[in-house]
Amino acid sequence: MYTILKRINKIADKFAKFIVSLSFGTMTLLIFAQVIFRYVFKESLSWSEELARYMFIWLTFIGASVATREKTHINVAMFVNNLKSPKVKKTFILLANVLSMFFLGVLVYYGFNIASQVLKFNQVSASMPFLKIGFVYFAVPIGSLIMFFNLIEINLAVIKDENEEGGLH
Amino acid sequence: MGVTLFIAFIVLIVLSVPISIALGLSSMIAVLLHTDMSLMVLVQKIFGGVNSFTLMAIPFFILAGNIMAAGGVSNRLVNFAGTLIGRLTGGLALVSTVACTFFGAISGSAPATTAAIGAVMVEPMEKKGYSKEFAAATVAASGTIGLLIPPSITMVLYGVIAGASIGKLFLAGIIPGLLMCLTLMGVEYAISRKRGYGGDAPASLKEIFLSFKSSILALLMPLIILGGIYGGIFTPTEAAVVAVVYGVIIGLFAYKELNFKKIMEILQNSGKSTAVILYLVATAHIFSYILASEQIPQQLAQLMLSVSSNPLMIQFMIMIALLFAGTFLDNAVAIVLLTPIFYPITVQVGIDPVFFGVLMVFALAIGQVTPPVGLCLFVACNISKVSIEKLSKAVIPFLVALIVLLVVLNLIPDVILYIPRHAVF
Repeated sequence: MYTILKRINKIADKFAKFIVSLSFGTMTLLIFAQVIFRYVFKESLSWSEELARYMFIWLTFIGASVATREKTHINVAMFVNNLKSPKVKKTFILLANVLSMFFLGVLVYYGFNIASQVLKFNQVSASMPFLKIGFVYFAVPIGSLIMFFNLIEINLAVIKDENEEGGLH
Repeated sequence: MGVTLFIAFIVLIVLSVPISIALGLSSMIAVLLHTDMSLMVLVQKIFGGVNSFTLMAIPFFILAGNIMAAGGVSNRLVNFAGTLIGRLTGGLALVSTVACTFFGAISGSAPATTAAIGAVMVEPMEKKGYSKEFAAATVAASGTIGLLIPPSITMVLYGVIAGASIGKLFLAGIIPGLLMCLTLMGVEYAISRKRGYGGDAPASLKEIFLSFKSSILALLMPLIILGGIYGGIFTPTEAAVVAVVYGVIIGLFAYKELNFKKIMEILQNSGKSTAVILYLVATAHIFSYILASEQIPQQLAQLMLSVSSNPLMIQFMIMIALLFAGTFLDNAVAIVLLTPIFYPITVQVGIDPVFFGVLMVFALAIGQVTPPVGLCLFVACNISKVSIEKLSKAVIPFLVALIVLLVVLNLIPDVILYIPRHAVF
């Protein structure tokens, strides 16, 4: 189980990193094109800003999952690090991760709910009628799901003592 | 409900839950316990928190700074600063500070500024006989100038949350940023004189001209950003993208220190740092929604007004709170957490939002060099291999000088507001 989970998380992480680079790169090109079109071709693009904003949302929520795996989310580790007993420290870290997983679980459940509802209502982008807004909403549950699975792996590693530092950093 | 929110938040923080998740989860707990609101609203709030075009300036300013740093700009800025003031007593320390000021005009982050200039300056300072601790303290303290000199990521965050003009905030940061540079140079000069740290041989006019020529392309970047925003040519977000493209072009063709592979690497790393900050902004959106719906800032304002109704007193109380918060909160965290609390109070007593924004960023900048959580200190420790305890001691004179400057800025609003008031485009 553990090895399968590890493998899934690795693939998800590759996917997430790909999305981060792709959306960031595309955002940059879109906004630059917007400036060029306005000043060089004297024509304003109506859709570039909206599309870039949607990519930005994907970048944020999918990128957050990479940060979970790499433990770069900002936290205050001062108290936990000063605990004398390794057992208590481990318990604190596990508890912190389980609480985080509760939050992420709610985001996954309600996120999918909202996204599929918006998709059902066929709400489309104002400037790009072919783009359904529901797809943009999927960034929240998908990113949260990847984070959730990464936290399971991190927790198992803490229990198995593979990783002394445990927790998120 | 407010009590539940804060207790849950503090417990989660102590447990070492990431601050972004603690903000979202404590809001969720408060909603579950005290209302029958659907949790769907929370998901929508999180989503809405980053559904903003203006916020997109943040990833682009991060990217632009990282591209410039990798493109060989730091060395050139240091050389230029060196030919200008390297000859003075404590020359290398002064050069570090001036180079940080230049670099701050390219990068919007304090730790990034410390990292870029520290990597170039700490070693030469040690070789010249400066104490390691002093060298590290110099680059740590000077890095904070990057938060005040535009562009500034922290100011973009404040501007979006408080609804203040980012263009005006950028302009208002210039004079305090320069004063910060002069103040730190004063401290360095005094210490160097006492300890007998000498300067370099004076540079000839030709050397000054050559180093200026090699760094002119980098120094033009802030002009493009600021000129573009105030000339009404681009929005702050577009200006940030133009800065990225400009950085790529000079990195590839003028300085020739970038290549495609490096750029892709920087893109991904900048994307990751972006996600950390913006995820925080997203979850803080629920938190501030609950604060606002419970009228917590208004209650706090009543409390403060019962102590004194003098705006200056209120201002000082907030500054003390910010200095305190800055000692253990990262500045992005502090802005997203505290702006929704303090901003409504300042509005109530009639403090200018741009003026307050700059003061807030300044106070939090000081927090970047105060232990236990000062990112610039950590970066400087890493570069210089000085322990955090020794560095914390060495940085004290700089801290005192910056706090004195903060008090002066609080007392004389015109210093901050001079440029935004008189800028006519």
